[in-house]
Amino acid sequence: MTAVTEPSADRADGRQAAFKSFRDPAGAVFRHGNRILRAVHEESAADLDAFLSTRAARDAMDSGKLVRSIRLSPDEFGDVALPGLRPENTLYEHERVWFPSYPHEWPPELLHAAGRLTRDLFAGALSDGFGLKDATPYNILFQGASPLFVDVLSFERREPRDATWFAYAQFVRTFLLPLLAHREFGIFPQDVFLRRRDGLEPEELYRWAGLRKQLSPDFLSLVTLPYWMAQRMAKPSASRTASVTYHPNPLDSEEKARFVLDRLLDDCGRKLAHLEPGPASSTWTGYLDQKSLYTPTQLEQKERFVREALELAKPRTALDVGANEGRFSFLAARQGASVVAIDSDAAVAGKLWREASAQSLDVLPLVVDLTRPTPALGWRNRECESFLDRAFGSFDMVMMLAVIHHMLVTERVPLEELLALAAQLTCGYLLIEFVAPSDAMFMRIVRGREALHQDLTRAVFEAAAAAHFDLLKSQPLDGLHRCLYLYRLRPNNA
Amino acid sequence: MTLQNRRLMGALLTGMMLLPLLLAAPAKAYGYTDPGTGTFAYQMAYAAFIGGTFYFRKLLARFIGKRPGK
Repeated sequence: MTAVTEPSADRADGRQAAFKSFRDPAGAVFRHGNRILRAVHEESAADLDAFLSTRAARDAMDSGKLVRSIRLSPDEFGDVALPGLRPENTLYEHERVWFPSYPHEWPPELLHAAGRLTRDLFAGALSDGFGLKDATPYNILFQGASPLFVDVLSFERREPRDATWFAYAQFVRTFLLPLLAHREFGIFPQDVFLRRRDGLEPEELYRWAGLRKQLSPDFLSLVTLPYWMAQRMAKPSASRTASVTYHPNPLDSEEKARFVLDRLLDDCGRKLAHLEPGPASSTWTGYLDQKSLYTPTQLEQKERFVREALELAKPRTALDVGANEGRFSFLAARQGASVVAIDSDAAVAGKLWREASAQSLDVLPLVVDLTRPTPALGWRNRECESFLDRAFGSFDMVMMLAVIHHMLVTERVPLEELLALAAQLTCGYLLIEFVAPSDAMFMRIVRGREALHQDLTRAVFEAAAAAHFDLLKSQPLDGLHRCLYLYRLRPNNA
Repeated sequence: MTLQNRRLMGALLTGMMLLPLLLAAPAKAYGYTDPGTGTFAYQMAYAAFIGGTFYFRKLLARFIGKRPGK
């Protein structure tokens, strides 16, 4: 749907050498400069080529569902020294996703979209004789609001008479159970994936559910029955005939095997449809429309300023901090920017995605609190980069509208720190809204500690910003104790 | 069949599959179970059940002709 946008500035060097993925014995992905390359072992390269040339794969690549991949010829990379690349490896290059994001940052709607894509791609691949050997949300990245399956080595040739999908349990653990836990217990992907790579176990939901819920239809097939069956097999006296074998068990007929898998996938599809996250409400939903203190005139004034700022800056990439339902993210996207919209509230992030998806806008909503951003995760804390490491150097413009008072007051981040971070996050422009201590919302969140902020004036704010930025234009909002600013990062800013 | 009825039918069928397990439901775990074993075992049981209906459907199709839609 959207073309890949390259980050506009080079990443600051001094980062560690490119990290190679390691879980798949068939190959490894690594970054080489701005290119995403995959070294594939010879035995698997033939299968990968075959898969990429199937009808299903080609359709998926054309429609932006599967990452575009091409095999490189030896002379295309011959002179490039790649540590760890062996002579018998074949090299592929992938289309680059400009801003990777992970399940632990996604609102539930994105996890659901990723699950649907996984199921749909598997169903398509089946017709061409390929199966899916793993089913995890880490196979998927988002281009704007669209999910993109990036781990092409997950597809493997399947034995036509095999009726077992070995990755089904993982699909359940990483997609269906977290979605069920969200609907029933209000648990978010952040709560699951920050701690654990492989999702939730049936046992956990079993414990959280009372008897009535345990026997409800959704729980029976996903939680209760698997749990009971696992318990039975744990008994030392259980006969080995009841034991689970992970070895292939081909059926007598290809058609029958295909029938079983089709029914299983249909069932997964129905469950996904059933578990689709509905519009949620939180403190922050409906904010600008109903709960905020902006009059229509003030809102119009603000929008005009933002539009003019976007016109001036023409950012190719933008970060909207505290994006809420995305009113200003959408302005940036319509102006032509690829936007990452962050908010600490998952409900508004989800609502934003629904809108962005419906309107095909290039906005990726993530559940990130800038004052406590996503850490680096995984093996040696290097498999998933921290949010800040991905963000530095990636954005032409950073928008901090109606958000700094939350960081200053509730999170007690010093003003100088806040602006220093803004100076690192943006490569060019900062669009920021100053909220004075006399502002109604400020007073609501200060909880009696006004004394801490008595020195916070517009003059102090402007002086602090001048340490890193040059002022381009400003606009106080009539009747509100707020002022909008458009700043440009000073070029030799450290 | 309305959605309500289909759900009811599904629940009844699952109940029928459930009964033997209910009678043997364990109280405690005694040993280590690898994560995913339960779901995998469930899939095996599901596949066996569906595999059973495979022949049944073919038989039915022969008598009453092509079924409308799935």
